[in-house]
Amino acid sequence: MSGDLERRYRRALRLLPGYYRQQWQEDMVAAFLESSLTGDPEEDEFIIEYGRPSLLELASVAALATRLYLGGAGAPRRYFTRGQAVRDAVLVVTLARATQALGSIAVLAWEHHLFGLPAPPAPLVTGSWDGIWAATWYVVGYAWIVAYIALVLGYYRTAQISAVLAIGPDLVYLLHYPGWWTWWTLFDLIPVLAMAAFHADAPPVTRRRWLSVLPLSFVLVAVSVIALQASGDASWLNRPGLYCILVTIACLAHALSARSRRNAGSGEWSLALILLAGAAGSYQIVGLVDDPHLLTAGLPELLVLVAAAVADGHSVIAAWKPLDLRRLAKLAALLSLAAGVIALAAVGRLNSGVTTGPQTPRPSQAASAIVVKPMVSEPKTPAGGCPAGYAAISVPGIDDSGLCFRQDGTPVTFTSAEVTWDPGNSGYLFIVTLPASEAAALKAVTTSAYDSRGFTDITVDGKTWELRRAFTPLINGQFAIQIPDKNTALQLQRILMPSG
Amino acid sequence: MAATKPMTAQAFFVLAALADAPRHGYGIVREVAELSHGRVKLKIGGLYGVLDRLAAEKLIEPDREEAHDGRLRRYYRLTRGGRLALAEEADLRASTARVVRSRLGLPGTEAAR
Repeated sequence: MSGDLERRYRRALRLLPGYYRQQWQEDMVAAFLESSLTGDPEEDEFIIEYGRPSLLELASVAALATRLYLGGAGAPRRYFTRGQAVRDAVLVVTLARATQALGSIAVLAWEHHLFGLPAPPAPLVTGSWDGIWAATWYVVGYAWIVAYIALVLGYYRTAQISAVLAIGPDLVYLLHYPGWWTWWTLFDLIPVLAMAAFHADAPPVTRRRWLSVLPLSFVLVAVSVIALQASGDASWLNRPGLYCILVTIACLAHALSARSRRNAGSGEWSLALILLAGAAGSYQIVGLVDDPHLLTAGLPELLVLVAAAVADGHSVIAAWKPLDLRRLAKLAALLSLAAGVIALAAVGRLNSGVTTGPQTPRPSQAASAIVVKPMVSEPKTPAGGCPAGYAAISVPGIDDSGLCFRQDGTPVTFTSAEVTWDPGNSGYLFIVTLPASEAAALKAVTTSAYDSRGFTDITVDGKTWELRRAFTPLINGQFAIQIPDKNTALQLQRILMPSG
Repeated sequence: MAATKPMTAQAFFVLAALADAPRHGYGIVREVAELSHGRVKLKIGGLYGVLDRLAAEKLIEPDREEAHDGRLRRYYRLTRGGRLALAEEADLRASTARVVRSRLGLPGTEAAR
């Protein structure tokens, strides 16, 4: 007696690894069919002939398949190695996100002069806490630190919940600025889904090693990046490039270490590094297609990454038979092909005269006056209107702040500023540097806004481009205009730097 | 390593379902639902995930196979280790329940007298 119900259930069981199906499939089918019957011969005949497994049944098979493919203790070696590799890769990505969050906290502390720090240089002043939404976005991002520590300590559910919380605001951001989808998919969604590898059978993480890596990573990576950004010479250091460099170093170090030991181990780390190289490489590829001007630095980074991943992949072959040479060669060929296609596409775009931004962030004389106004705010009325004397202000990237604004002091107009735009910076940041003679005027207007716990409005060509809360007076004659997306940044570029 | 982990509710109920007699897959699902007063409803994927793990830990083993409606039903039984693990877990749960009942001052406990 075999009908649609059995056929459909058997099809679902194909999700399970072959070795498992061999042992359990017939038993599972029998138990499933029995559990589906009601005891009424007529109804049972109909169920067997036309029924289909419930979504909950299918979900239970999918969950079992995930646990088996990303094997834990007791799984066959091949599945265990794969599971460990995914767990290692997830730990590394979560570590990177936690390091990034720690770096963001450090910059915030600097911006607010904690620990007696002097005012940070302008490239670091991003006004990142402007508005409740931005503040929430940053604070929730710190959940990556909780996720990482929870993962290392074995609180997998806490880690998963924290990570889901951390990627939520990014998803909202993605819906507004779809250009972020690669980043969100590779470094938010996939790592969170892959946390399923930390299941009940997963062996515990080596706590001491992974916990000590977090401060180390903060000092070596986050502090170095902040120092480079503060020096104002980090135009070559974009996020995909940084990830490519770090994974390349890890691949080479692992390959050399495996060679010196003459024993590549289980191949777990080689596979983990191939996964990480795939993520970093994909991110770099999308970045290069999006902005071919980054090709000069980006393509060599990508090619070196592929070479390092392939070099390290040899240790997988030496120690881990299930990943055969042909498969690895295919992977290498695919990655090289992708790099070639990117190079051609990017060169094509460059030759066709597509302008996506200045090639290097050289300062240009501002072609239009920049007006900085001190503002105060009031919440909108329950009816959605503004109190008398206040008006809503449209700001790129903010649909509705829920606030109305009024000028509160004398605005200052700067006509001889130098502007630098670094298209490699994901924040589309315009750095404005004033002549020394005008630094005092900037300090006065921002101090006025700061004293009234208000905002500074940055207007160019009659339009407000940024409206940020005045957390600190700007004392060194520099400020940044942060633009949320590329198109708006290009508009501002056309006004401020028409020849750039 | 896995044996030192706390026993999950599903594993406890599956072992409990096999305590008095060997049972086949669907028999275990029914028995677990009855033992838990309908609170634990095992899906087949979940059941075989648990059976597989318990078999790997040598807490259960195949007992026999019987033909039923043209299919083979495989029966499972507790091993000696499975009985011990189940007894330990039952004692732990019973002692926790005694403490909780006593703290609540429920009838039949020291605190109620």
